[in-house]
Amino acid sequence: MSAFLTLDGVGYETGGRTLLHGVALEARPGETVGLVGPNGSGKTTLLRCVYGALRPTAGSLRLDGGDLLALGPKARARRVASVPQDNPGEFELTVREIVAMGRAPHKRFWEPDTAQDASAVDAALARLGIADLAERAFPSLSGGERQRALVARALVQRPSLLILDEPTNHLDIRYQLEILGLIRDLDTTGLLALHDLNLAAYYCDRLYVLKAGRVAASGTPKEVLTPELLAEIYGVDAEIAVHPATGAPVITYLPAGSGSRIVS
Amino acid sequence: MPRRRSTHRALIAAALLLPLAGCGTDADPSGKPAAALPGASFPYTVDNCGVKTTYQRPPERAVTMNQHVTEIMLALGLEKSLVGTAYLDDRVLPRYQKAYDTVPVVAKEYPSREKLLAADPDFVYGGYASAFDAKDGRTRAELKKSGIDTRLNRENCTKGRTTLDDVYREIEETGRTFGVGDRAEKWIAKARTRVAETERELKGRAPRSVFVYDSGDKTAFTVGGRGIGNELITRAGGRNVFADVDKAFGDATWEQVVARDPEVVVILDYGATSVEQKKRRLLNDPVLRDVPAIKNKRFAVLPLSEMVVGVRAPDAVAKLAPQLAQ
Amino acid sequence: MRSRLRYGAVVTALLAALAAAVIAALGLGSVAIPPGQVVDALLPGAEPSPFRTIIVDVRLPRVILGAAVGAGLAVVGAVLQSLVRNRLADPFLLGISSGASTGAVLVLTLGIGATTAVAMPAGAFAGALGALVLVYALARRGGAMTGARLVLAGVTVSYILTALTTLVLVSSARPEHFREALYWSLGGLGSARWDSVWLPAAVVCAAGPLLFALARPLDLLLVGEEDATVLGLDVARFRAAVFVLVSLITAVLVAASGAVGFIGLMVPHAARLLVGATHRALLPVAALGGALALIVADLAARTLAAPQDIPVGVLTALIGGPLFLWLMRARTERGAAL
Repeated sequence: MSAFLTLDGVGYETGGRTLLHGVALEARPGETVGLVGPNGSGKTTLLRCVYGALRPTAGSLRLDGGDLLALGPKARARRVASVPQDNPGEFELTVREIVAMGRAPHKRFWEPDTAQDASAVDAALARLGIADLAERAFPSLSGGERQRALVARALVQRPSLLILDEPTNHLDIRYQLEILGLIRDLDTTGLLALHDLNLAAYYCDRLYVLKAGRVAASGTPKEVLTPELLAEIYGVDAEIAVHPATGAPVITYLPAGSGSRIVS
Repeated sequence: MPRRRSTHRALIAAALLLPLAGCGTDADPSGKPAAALPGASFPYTVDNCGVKTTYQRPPERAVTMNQHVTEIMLALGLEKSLVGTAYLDDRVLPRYQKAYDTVPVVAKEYPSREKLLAADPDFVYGGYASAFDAKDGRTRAELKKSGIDTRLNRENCTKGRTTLDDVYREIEETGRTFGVGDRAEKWIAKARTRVAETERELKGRAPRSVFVYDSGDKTAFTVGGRGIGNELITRAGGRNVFADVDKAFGDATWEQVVARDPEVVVILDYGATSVEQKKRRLLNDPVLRDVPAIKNKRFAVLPLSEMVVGVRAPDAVAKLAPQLAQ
Repeated sequence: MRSRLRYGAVVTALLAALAAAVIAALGLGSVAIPPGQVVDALLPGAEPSPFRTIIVDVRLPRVILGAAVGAGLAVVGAVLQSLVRNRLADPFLLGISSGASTGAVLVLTLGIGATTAVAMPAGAFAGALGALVLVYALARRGGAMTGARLVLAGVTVSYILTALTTLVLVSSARPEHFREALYWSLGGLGSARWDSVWLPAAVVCAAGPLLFALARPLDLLLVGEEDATVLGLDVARFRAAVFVLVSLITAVLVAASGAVGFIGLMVPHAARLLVGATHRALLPVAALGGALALIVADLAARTLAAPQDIPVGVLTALIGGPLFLWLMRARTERGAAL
């Protein structure tokens, strides 16, 4: 249920602009790997290359040693699921209908859903705490509820690699923690782009920092999140402590000019 | 043809810009012609399609638009009063060809306002309402402002059914406008005689039921009861099965064609689709196979250019009668 | 809440209404026929009579054509709306009907063919295919066929072909072509005959189940390009294939009846309000609704002004327009909740 993802020299070029330069990345089975970096650094582009919405113009992507790019869309969708950024859509599908679409890669076009499919959907709805929203129209949901429904859909897909692009957008803090906790606890290998460095530090096993389409740093949160790196990548001063209870780095941003240091 | 062209244009307009679809028809409240004195008699006042005009003297520089009013002028021997003609449907009657050739053709179809004014007319005679099209700035009111009197063929503003009396009155009023009322009277007398002859020949015979086929596949585009077409068929010994359609032309359902059981089909002859093609279309239609006219292949032909309030109408009756009677 | 029971009730009600409409459409018309005669005419071995001709040779093929065209347009409309992910799309958005008009008008003005009854549908079909090829090529040029690109290509081709049709008509020496072209393009079922109605009927009967079998990938299109890709659909290829399929259906329907408007826009919309947007539920209801709507509209078209025939396309728009507004309002009032 968990995959080994290896990216090597992945580049993406469009309209004469290079958005990714030779990105190398590894996500080992069961790991939760975070992508961080400022807006426009290429996080979404990289994720889209992995889940197949974009075809990289250079490099190789391997899943469990096999060429990811050689997989057909359906075969890929049986192994890689993704929660793209929020997109309510115009048609009034119910939450259940949206979540049930996660079964599509496992079915023939004309095959109707079976009882097993329905129970997989029920389980995912329950797991995300949205069972009571099942018959609601998807566009009528709040951003957070939609996000949870899309995560449920990804779970129904039963992937070995789960990709999330800013999964905590729109979510109340409680659900941010719940969703990230859920993803970390899955056997599935996770690759997620995150804005919030504190959440990334706590929930990810390893981080990749992107800047202008290149990997600027990588390693465990502790190795990566340094005041120097934050200053270089984000241009901010910050104080980084290690939380006594969680053991994860905790970042406190400082107003410009007040200096930065590590408190241990 | 232009009468229907105006309909077509209105239909297109209706399809494209619905608000423009309404088109008023001028009323002609004066029931009877003004004092009847042959030859020149001025001032002459005439109410034509709601436009009242008093002529102090005959117009000298007239322009005609549409074939049948051009022919009315030529039939009255008025080619000298013409400075231009426009818009033939097919060709002018052979007997007027020589006279027609002496008059310049202002335009192949309708002339633009500029072209019309360039001919410097004092009178414009239009056959169909489209001749005085507002979009081209050729309305009767606008021409009046430029000092030009106008006449519109009364077919465009008859109330109720159009009959041969409308033909006679059209010719009489035109004749009197040009001070040749006597020529008009003579023409009318001859025409009446001709129609009366046909009537005599038909005496005692039951009228043949007639379905007029103009065109159409989804519907049968046919002649209704209002127009001159219905009158010509009636005078020629026919009974138009769609006389109850209160329009000059209308779309009938094919099942009505079957139900009304016509004995003869009159095919309107005009345009690119030949009479043969139309016949074949009707003969090949499985729906019509038991209709007497189709079963017995009883077809008559009426050229659309004769279905006018003009000098061809009496001839049309004479030519149609034997076809219906055969 | 959409339960199985409710779906069954909707389908049953539509089937009953359709049956009633078919009976009414056979029994009523511009010619009044006593009910007993209607039954007699339909019995095998009935004596030939004008009534029998009217019912068996005029009304019956007309009802069949109405059912085929109505169901076909509604299904194609529903699929096309998913294809471009916009519920204002209709079967005529992507240039197919414009191509058909151009073809029909060219045949008309050039005087090709022995009779217009055969030549105009043939020309229309050829024109529709031409438009299809053009739109397809434009939409595929320089990359994958996205919904937006497809709409852009379709609308562009549509405008160009409409202009071309107008140009051909305006420069035609024969003014009567205006009328014939207009009547043709307004759409109507009056030319339905046994020897031609089988084609649209067969196409709809074959294409309907095929599209129904594609319900699952069609559903995926609803959630957008990116999500559909994630869910394992080769969106560009699927969209291209479905576009070709629905365009071919549209071409056959338009050739048979002209462009009957509004059915393909309104019926899918109403069907979605009844049973939701997933295609397995939507397509059968849209098909029944489309057949019902067109049969009823055509019945009105040939009886309201009897003995005259009103182009049914005029009626579908005239009745459909306000109905569509009402549906939109009903939807707004209920809010986004179903």
